[in-house]
Amino acid sequence: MGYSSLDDLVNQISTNGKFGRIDYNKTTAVAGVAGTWTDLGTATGSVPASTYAGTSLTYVPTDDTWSEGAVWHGGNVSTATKHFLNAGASIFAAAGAPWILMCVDQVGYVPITGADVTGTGARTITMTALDSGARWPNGVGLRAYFSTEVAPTAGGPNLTAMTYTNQAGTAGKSIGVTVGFAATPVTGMVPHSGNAATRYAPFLPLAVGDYGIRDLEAFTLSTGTAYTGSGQLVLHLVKPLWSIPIPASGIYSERDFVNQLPSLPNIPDAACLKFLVFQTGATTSASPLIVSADYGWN
Amino acid sequence: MPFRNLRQLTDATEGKTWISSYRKAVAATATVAGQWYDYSYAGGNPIANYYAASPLVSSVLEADKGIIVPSVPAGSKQFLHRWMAMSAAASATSTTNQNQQMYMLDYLLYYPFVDMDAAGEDQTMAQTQVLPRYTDGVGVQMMVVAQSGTVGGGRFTITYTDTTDTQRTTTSMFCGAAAAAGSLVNAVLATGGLTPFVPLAAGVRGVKSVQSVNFSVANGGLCCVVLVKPLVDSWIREEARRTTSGTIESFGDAMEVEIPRTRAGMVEIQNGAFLGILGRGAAGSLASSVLVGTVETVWG
Repeated sequence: MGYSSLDDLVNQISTNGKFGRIDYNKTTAVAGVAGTWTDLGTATGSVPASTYAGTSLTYVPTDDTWSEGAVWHGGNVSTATKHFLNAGASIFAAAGAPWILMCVDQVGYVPITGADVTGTGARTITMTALDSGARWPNGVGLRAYFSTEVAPTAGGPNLTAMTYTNQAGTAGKSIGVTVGFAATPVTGMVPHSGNAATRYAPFLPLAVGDYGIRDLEAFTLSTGTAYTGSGQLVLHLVKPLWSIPIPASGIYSERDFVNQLPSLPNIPDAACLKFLVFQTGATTSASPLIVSADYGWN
Repeated sequence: MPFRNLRQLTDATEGKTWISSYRKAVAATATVAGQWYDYSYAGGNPIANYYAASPLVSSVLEADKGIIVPSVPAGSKQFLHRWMAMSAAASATSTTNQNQQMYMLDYLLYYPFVDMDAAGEDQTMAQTQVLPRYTDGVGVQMMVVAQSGTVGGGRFTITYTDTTDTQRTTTSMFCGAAAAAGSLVNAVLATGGLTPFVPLAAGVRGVKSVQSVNFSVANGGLCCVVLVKPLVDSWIREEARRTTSGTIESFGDAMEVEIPRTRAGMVEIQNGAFLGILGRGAAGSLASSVLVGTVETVWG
């Protein structure tokens, strides 16, 4: 339903108590790499580190009860709608500033392990396509990115093919470009981000005109140099919600979502909130990161 | 179809959006205070653009080598929604990248490797490519980017074709002091002028093509004449840095543009756009500073 006016917003918060708060903190798992995005799921803190458990190439849906790291935001409020009112974040690190923090709703993920990381053939993903009952109906607005759960020993392959079913239900859509992966992506790193040609960040591109993903179908890591070792990758399917700049270490940056346009990012029932961070320099290992946000519903 | 009202824009942001991050690290060679710098020339993501093509032959840049935004289907239009930028200082004590005026541009057409030592020679361009966007030239400006270090002190004119297909020659323009590659040649706080773009004759609405360049006084080095469409400008007030001794302090500012909240109108980004950024180091050299940020678009 949302708010009909600022008066309504004030009334729902102050009179009816329809608001809550998120507090989140992490300690960076390893030294970051300058110019890359990091999935904070692998870092310790509150919520705990994720292991992205599951069978390789089999999609795992996630919601606000996901035991590996969902941020609790008060449960379902339907038929009301829930919205971010503001957010703030701080990183305290000797190196790495400035940063960009992004909040996403992770709809699900695909674990990628063993030969599915090191091989060079096409990998087919097992996933049931999202339908109109999904919390982002038909996958509208969803984007995909890879992250590194366990660092491969070495390599640097290219994502030479990736297909998906788009928001309209058209299968076999191709991202249309070759995407380079980093040679030695550290834990948490989005391997297709960074300072090199053919890097796309934070999300993989979609075909012209597409604006969502219903189904992750297949991908091929080939050419370049195949990964070695026992690394583990994760392919995430997410809805970007907001981002906030963090210009300096130790200074809390705040964002008011009531007064931006469009305002009040929606938190759907069962949303699995997660955070990504972009680092300009190499963020010092074991640096604390805190995020807090207020939300309300009506 | 573009947006008729805020509701249509809001509806589009539920999916028809894109966000890209960028990180451009300026080389260690000092730039001149007050001078504009072409961040597309810096390494990082996207990769450096050195305007590498046949000398004096018109050429275009590939969209995916600039800050990446998607192409949209026929009948749709894409607009800039948010632009955020922060400038990381070169060191814990560097402050020269503060107070930095910024322009976001669509790079359209370029004529590389003009010899700035060829005093008195008309360097004639070959037109193998024409404007790929903004084809009527309205709003299209020229900038002159150093492709190598310069000696400085030169003077030059550019002969160009305007939006009415009339050939015109600029006034004799001064160059600034010795500049690093990637710097704009005629854009220092000196006799040469104060704007990043080449001054056009009165009443001229834009540029379609460049016919020739003539350096009456040598400036040293090589340069590229680039036709660009300025999209939006803003200002980074403070560099991002953290001291390392004494009472450790942190500084930093994020420049943010949100359209239409902070800027009237909608800034269209045409399919195939090569997006890049100019910065003006008002307080000093931009050497070894790092510009980062995000670009968000919305289409309908």
